[in-house]
Amino acid sequence: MSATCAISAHDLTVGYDRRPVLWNLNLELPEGQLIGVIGPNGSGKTTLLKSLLGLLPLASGEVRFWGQPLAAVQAQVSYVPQRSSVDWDFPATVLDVALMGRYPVRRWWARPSATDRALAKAALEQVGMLALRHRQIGQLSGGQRQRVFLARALAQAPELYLLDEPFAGVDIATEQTIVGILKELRAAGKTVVVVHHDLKTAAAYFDWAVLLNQRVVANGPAEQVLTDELLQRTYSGQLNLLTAVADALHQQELPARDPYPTPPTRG
Amino acid sequence: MGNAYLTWLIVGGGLVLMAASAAAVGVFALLRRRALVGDAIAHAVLPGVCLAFVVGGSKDPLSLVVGAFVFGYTAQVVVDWLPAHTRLKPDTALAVVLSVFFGLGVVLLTYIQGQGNAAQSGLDRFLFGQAAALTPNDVWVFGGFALGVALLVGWAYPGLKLLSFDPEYAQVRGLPVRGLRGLLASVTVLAVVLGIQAVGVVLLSALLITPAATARLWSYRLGTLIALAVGFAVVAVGAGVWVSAQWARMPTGPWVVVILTLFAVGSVLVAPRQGALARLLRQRRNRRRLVRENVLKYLYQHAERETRAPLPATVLHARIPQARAALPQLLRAGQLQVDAEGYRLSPSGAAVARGLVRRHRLWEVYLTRYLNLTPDQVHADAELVEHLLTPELERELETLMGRPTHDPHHSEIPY
Repeated sequence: MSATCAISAHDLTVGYDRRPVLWNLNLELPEGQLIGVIGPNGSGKTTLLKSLLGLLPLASGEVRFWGQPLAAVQAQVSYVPQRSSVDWDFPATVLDVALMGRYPVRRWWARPSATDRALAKAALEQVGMLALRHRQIGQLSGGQRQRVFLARALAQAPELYLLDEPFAGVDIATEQTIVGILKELRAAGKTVVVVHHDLKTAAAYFDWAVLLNQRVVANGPAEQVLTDELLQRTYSGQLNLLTAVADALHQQELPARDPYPTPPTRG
Repeated sequence: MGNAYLTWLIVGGGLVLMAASAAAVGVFALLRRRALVGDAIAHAVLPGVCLAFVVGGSKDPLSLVVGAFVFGYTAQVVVDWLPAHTRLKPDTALAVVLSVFFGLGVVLLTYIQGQGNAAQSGLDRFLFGQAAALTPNDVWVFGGFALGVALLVGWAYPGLKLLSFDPEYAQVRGLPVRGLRGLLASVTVLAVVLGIQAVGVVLLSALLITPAATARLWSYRLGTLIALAVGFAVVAVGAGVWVSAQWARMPTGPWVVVILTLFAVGSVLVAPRQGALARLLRQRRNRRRLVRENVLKYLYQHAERETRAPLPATVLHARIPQARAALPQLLRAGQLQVDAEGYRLSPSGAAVARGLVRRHRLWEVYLTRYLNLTPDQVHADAELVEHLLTPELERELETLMGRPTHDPHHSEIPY
């Protein structure tokens, strides 16, 4: 495994309720790039992100960050979940949420130190939310909530960022702010992985792209991957067969892998 | 007299400690959207109590509590397991667990009562609770538990907060999510098991959830919220104990619950920001501001259209019927001047009015330019928007359109 590989997933299979969403997926993502994970609805983008982070049980496979398991590099990996994944009526202020990013740099039972506060405030400043730091998070607009989520990750100051649909349903100003910050991070040598659904902007935003539709259709530098032919293959009906097979698996209650495989006859 | 006083002290002290810890635990149950789980646990502990009695053959409180804890914890695990591994939805899982466990408990209780064991009387204290029967020993147990909850929340507060807000993120951050969940589940079950003896199965979830739900209306800071929930619980217990000490045969536990409910209803009415009263006041304030601004604007347009002569009050009242209340307010604010001939704008009132007219006309220009509306379609919209455009938005409009000089109706835009 080369040292410049930020994330590598080997033989990853993940499913919900016996319906495989990702099949035998192999993926190596380089360090220091702004990477887009692109694919149609239901192609497993979010599932991929969550599986990489150990949030979903793997049917098979393993994931490494810089060649190590996540637990060994936890402080260097940050996650920006979809906004809809939390209850925004939760009793917390903008600053409270940004401070949550300071784990595990500080221990989870420790009160935030002056340094933690300074870093959280700097992160809020970066996303343009410092003035609203005492607001209850439920009073924020969608775009502001997304900025707060990003600030939480920035406060952690990690090497690797994984963002799930950060541009879904946000205003243009927020999208531009976030893209600007992500490009700054890349310039500072960080690795940024973004689950993204908008094909129109993909080429402008990313320098590396993964086309996903239950399997990796393509993985490489954006200009080589975001071609009409590959996009066609990802988005067109040619992969409907995969879904049909997954449905059949689900209905027949077979495991995602043959438990009694026949050894290959040659090789 | 002294003896009765001591009894009430024990009951009151025990209930305060129990209700305070249940309220603190309840805050996290509520925030983790598990408000009904307490109810399911409360029902599920009954078979545990009965089994412990059958096996132990006595009413030894420790074995009853252990039996209750085992079943309460199991119920909670099943409630989580069912939706994750079957097609059952969470609400179905709750209903199933609650009724199956409780049914089993009632069967066992009936069996025990049929045995005619003299020691069994009082087992139904677990069903309906009996605060008056609390002993000094119970108070020590409640005190120990309250201390435990206080230490846990005090120590693990940041982690519990993150876990309750965003459990997936907490896991990625390397928090011991499983351990913390187990810990919360355990204290919830313990709070339920101990609380049942005071207020019974049916009212227990009121002790767990009502203080937290009430406190949510008053604060959006977690620390304050916990303190408020505990405070509501303590005051309600005090009042409940007082009521049942004043009047004979008034049950303490149910009164505590009734008072907690009164707090909740009262809070819905008077809580700041979210309360019904606050909303009404806010709406009234907004309506008054709108009327005031409309009066100023009307006077400005009058001066612009016709003369600088004052506007007679009769004309003003005819044009803006709601103006009667607004005029004294505007005079007090120094935005209006009045003499025998009528009303006119003061310099500060004119400045406000100019701003309104400017925002109105800028918005009309914006709508015609960018939304392709015809000039006759834009007035109604601008009537509202003039009141709510912030200075930042106004600046943005100006820069976007390059300070247009006239609105679509050819009126000049005053800068």
